[in-house]
Amino acid sequence: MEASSPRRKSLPAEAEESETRPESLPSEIHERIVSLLPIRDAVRTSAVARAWRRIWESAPGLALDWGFEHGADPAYADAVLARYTRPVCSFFFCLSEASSQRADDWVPLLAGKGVQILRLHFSRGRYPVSKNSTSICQRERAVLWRDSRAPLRTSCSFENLKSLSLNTDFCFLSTILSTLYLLKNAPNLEELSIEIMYDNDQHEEVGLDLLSAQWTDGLLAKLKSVSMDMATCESNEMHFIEFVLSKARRLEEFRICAVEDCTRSNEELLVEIIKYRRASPQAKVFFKRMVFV
Amino acid sequence: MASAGSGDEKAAAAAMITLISSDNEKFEVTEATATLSQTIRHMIEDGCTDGGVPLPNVTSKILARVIEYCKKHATAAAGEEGSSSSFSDAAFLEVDRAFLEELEEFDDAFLEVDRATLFDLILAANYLDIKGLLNLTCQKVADSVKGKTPEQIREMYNIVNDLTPEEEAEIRRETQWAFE
Repeated sequence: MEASSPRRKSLPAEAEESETRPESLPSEIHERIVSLLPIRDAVRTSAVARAWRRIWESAPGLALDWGFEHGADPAYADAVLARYTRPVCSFFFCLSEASSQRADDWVPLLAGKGVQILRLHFSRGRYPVSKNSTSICQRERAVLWRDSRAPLRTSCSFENLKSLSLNTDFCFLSTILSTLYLLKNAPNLEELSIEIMYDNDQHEEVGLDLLSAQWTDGLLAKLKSVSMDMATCESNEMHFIEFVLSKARRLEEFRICAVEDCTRSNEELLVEIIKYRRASPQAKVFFKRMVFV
Repeated sequence: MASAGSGDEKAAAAAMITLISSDNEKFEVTEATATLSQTIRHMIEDGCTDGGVPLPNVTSKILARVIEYCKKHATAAAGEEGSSSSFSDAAFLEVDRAFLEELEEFDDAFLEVDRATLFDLILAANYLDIKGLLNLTCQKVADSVKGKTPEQIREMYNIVNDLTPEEEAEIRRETQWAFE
């Protein structure tokens, strides 16, 4: 039967044609196809025809991901968040200096939408360190800090958050506490990547006892992998590494990439890190130093 | 371990499943191959595969392709299980990589079909609940749409634009950034 009706790519019969349009597939498959598209392509399909108009809004798992796109207007993401009806699987946006405060609204909103992967990057001039970039740093700290102390604190828990990428530093007690607050509110976090913002010097010493005082049951309980990039390896960062290693019972790997001009030698750092107690027997620690070529 | 020969044969025979296409063609497959389909896995668990599994929604032509996919990927799944204990062994990693590359080549070649077949494969993967095949085939359609304007998508799939000019203008105005 099949042999008698060969299908030709170039000249499809009229009847066959109507069956080979994505919108002729069951709607959950049409949604699945659109969910596999980058965000711009997905949204653009709304202008194809009526059957396509609202498909992206209910496409499960669509990545709300603007990547490292420069000049992406936060209004794009606002419009998408207003219309997208499914829980948010992943969200990734680079906020410019002028719009960094949008994070204040997005973080609780995304928490409410069950975000699983959240990446917010705050653009800053890395070299040379400018006054502006310091203020971004301050503001980002404030975002996390304010967020965690807001009256809506309980509704701002990241139950579904599995992967978190943070740009922060360990120079101030407030920053470190902000990071811990965020971790406390993300009980299912499995992957944490921290890129150290390279703008400040360590202002106050935050020792292991202070970190341990922040310990609550469930903190870091699901954490499997941590990476710390641009590490300065100053004492607060080392305390944080020690704290995580001593508390994360399911940790599999901790990757540390130190900045080139870190004042301590690799050997010295390794000897110190190896001494840290590890709550997880299978935890491996990887260390390297950045080299600029 | 009594009379190993006949016992093994029996075990092997018991692990074969007969799938029956909509046009009544019979396909003998191993249980490992068949259970890539969650639908069939559930049938096996419920013990209702005696006398064959009728698949009234799948033609023999499509079923043959689906089985080809499942056979290849069932081998891959078995390979993964076998090597997981020695994941740190560099030689094993090398073998895995080669095998994954081969699997990718297989998938690419597998997708070299006309559009009608691709859509039939999607429907079969959905009905049989074969996650990998559904993702693979849907990704192929998504790739065909990626980077295209609405006009190009309509042309490619012969879609009639039933939006009024006002509606289309509104969509483009609301989400202008996606059209730039």
